[in-house]
Amino acid sequence: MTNPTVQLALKSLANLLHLRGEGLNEILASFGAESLEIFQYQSLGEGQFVAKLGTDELYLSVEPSVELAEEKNQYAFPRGDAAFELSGNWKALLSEVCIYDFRQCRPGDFLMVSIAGISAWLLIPESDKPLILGCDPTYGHYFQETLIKQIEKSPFLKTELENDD
Amino acid sequence: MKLRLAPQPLEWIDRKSSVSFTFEGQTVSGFKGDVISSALWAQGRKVVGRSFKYHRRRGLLSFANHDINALLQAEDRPNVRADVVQAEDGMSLTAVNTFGSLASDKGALVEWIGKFLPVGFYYRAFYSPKFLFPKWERLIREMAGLGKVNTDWSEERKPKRYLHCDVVVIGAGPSGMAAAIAAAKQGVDVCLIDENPYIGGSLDYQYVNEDSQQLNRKYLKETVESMPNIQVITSSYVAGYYGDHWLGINTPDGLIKLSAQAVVVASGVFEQPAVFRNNDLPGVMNASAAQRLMARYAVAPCKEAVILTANPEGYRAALDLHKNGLVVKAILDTGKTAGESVVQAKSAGIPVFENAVLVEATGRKQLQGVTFEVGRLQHHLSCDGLLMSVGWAPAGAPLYQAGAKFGYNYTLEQLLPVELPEGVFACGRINGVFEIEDRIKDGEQAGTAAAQTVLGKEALAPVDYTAKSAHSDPYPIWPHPKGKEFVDFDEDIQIKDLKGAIAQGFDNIELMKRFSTIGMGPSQGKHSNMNGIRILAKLTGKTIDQTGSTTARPMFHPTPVSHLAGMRFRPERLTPLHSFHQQRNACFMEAGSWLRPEYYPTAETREASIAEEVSAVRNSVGLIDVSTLGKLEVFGRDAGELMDRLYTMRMSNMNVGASRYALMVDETGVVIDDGVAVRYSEEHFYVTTTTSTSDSAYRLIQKKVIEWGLKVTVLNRTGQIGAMNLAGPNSRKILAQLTDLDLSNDAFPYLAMRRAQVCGVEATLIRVGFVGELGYEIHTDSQSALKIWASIMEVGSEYGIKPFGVEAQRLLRLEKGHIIVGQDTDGLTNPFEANMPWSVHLKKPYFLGKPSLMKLKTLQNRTLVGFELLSKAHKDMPLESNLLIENGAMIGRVTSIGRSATLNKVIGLAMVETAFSEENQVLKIKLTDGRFVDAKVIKTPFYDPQGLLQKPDESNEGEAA
Repeated sequence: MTNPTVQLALKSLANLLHLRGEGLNEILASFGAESLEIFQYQSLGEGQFVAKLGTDELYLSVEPSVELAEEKNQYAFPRGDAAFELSGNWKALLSEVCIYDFRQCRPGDFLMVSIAGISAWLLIPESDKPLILGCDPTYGHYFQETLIKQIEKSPFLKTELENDD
Repeated sequence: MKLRLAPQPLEWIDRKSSVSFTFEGQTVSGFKGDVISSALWAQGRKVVGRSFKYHRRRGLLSFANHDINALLQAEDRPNVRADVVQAEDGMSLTAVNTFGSLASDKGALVEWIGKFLPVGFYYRAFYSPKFLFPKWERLIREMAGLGKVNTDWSEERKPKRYLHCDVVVIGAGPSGMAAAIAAAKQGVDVCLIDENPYIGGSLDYQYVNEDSQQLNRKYLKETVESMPNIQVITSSYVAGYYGDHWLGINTPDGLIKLSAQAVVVASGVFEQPAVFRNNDLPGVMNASAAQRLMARYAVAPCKEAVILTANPEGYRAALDLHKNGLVVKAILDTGKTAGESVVQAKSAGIPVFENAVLVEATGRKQLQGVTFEVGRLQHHLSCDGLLMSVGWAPAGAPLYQAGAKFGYNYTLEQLLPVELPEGVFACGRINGVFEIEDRIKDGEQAGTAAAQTVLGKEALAPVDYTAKSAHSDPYPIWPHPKGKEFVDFDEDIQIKDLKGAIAQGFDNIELMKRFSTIGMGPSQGKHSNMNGIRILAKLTGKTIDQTGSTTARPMFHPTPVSHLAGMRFRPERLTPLHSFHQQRNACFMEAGSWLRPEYYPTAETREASIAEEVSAVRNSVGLIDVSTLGKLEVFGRDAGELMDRLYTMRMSNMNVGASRYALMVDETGVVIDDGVAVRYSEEHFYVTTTTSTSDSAYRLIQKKVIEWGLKVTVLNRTGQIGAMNLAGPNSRKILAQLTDLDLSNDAFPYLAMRRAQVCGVEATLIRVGFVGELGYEIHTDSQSALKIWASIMEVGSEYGIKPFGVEAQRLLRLEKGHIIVGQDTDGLTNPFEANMPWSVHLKKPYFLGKPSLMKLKTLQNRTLVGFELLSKAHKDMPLESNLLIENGAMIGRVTSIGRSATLNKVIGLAMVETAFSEENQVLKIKLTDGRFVDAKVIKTPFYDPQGLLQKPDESNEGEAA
């Protein structure tokens, strides 16, 4: 996208996994992320990350994959989520497609919200970094088309642009 | 320009840029920034529209976005509000609601027959003779209504936006600005909203000439602009207040849904006109309208003015006119107002008549003079402007909608909020505070209190800044024996109309409103409700509080439907195999939120293409994308227990590596879902749902897991897993080339499940036969699905493999008599009616819907049966949902039907009353065109009743492993 206010790009995330089971803190510790709170993520560099979704639930993108402990009933489910990178004034764009109050979020938060009618996850970045967001792969095409259409046609985003000037 | 004034200190026009447009075919010039009305008025065009009922000439009245007689027709839209819409070059405008032209409107004849059209006449006329009603209806529709909608315009949608703040302040006048600043100083996020293009409110038109307010103005505006935590939204109005402090805000670009934690309403007051004979003549207007006209657009309201007032604001308006060099003939005070502005007016030499009553405007096409009485002496003054400043009504829509209660204050003669909901605050004139310094303090107080609410701090006890004297006349209404004293300028409601309504028993404010239509026009009573209440109270002998007020519903102003509609978000899902379908030019159909191939156009017609696909499956091999099936992983200690409780068949006794039909009913025993369950391990199941129920089934299961307190996890993996069904006599030969798995009947029997590598990718294989042939469902992660699909197509080319779509699958399964939940069942069908008693294991201790099914088992009164059509004529093909009729009564309906090339006949399923379900029963199907065709009940499956083809050369019955 070429809109100077906000830009959308496809993002490739390696080996996305959804982990469920007991004793997942040990896996977190293996990434040096044992202090993560629920609904926070830690960047592992090179686009990789680990997010804590609950006491028995992790979401991560790591290469190579993790080793599971069968005795702890640990399950790993691969995910093929469509992922995107939103840079610029992404909050202005999302305010048109998402009800969430982004004033509440802080860098390092892992959010799960509804965007344009579908479930999506967000990695809240530092203020000058792009937002990473993803959704079920079967909605990826719709998600991308919808955001692009919004970027191209939104009068609110044009207003933001004028204000920036 | 006849009425254009010298530059004003805060004018909104750019005198360096001019605009030109046409009105009623004549060219009008103005300055950039002029609204249409100000440009017209500046040129001396005081007739800007015709009234709704009597087509009387009308000018400006309020000049505050509810000048309903200044609605204009533009080329691209109707009902343009001339008092707020900026004039643009090239506009072509005409008045609405005229027959002929604005100058010569044939509709004015209605006034001559007005006495035959009393209030509510349309409720009592036109009933007989009945045959004339359509003619009356056409006439009324032609006469009523305002602008004309151009129905040729294409769909228009504006984006919506969400906005969140801590405190929202409605109205950016002096109180609102002060409130916003005070709240922002507490460190909270503030939104300040105003419907005008600039902040300032009445400070910039009622106090524009007062030097004492320059400091206030500078401080308030500059502070608002400098504070980063105040977001100012202008040219936008609060269309409605909704629960939990959600506001709908209409902007020129679309709707904003704003959520706040506290709301400060500083929306001010509407000036109310006086009611007297000919109060609608062009030239009679509210004094605040005249002040806006002068201050914002530098246009004089008239050359010679008379002021009718009951408050200091009227005197202030007189001084504004005087300062601009206009002649103020007199001030007619309905009482005896005191104060500094009174002294100044008298010092300026303006004659003042106190205790003036029985006012009457005179003139034919526009105002020429005013008659009034003082001490029983009648006076007459010639003038071309009569400015009314006799009282105010709260602009209280957001407060009313929030649940605030109003009470009548007899000191102010005004309705004031007396009870506010939590988190809602009011300040300024709506709060009864009129002195400018007090309004600012009241705003500061409200803003601080709102911020403290957000921060969880205790609010200080409020200081009462309410004015100590009246700013409204208690009854600024002078009936005249000859009438034409208008209470409602939208609907031409006069005093006699309200009297008539009350006399007929409509003496409650809501009833009077509906019978007389007062307050029901485009301005929604903004300038008529208060006078209507006063009249009703007087005529019924009640107080204002006893009389009450009508309900102020959203929208505050008419809001474009395109704004309310917003962008259309219609999620659409594509399977992992979509790119293949596109390459094959598949014809897609919607299945829930999915796009699925209906068929692949390989032959000349749709039917021929589908027939080819069916033939491939029956005679060799076909491949269908079933990725749209819901797919749930169920794992944990209680996985077996959960499966038993969810599905009608016993699941906990399944062997690992087996699959089983999974039918789900709700508490009432109604079929809601079906699929296939497989067991991966003792504590791990994988189950499919129908395409359209994956989300609802998942939600139900999650709810039940919590309700039942089971230790089990359920994941909805629908979008993460791709799936395909390889079916046909040659399917095994193809699959064998892509996997090392032993596919022999012994190693992988019918209804078994195996996990293996296919094309080097982990996959789950299930031997099921939905289409009635040897077949394998292959499930794998979404990224790998296309690889397996492509390999199968490549290897299968040797066998003439064809991809097949939903239509072929529907026909294939129909031949097998398999149901589709939601098509062959409806919202009341139980498994017994669906002819599937085998799927219900009532011996289980419990499953969802079991108590209902135990009762329903013996109460069955309809049954799903198979039938074949006795007529073979193509034109007699029934449709799904065609009814079955017997002796004139409905006995059932067709649920599925198709022409089976395999069987060379038309077959179908129908839900019929049990009495008509016996084999060979002839059913009469009523076609859509009303004719009947006969069908005969026959056994299902229609095709391969022994099921030999889906398990060739096998002796095993049912699941194995």
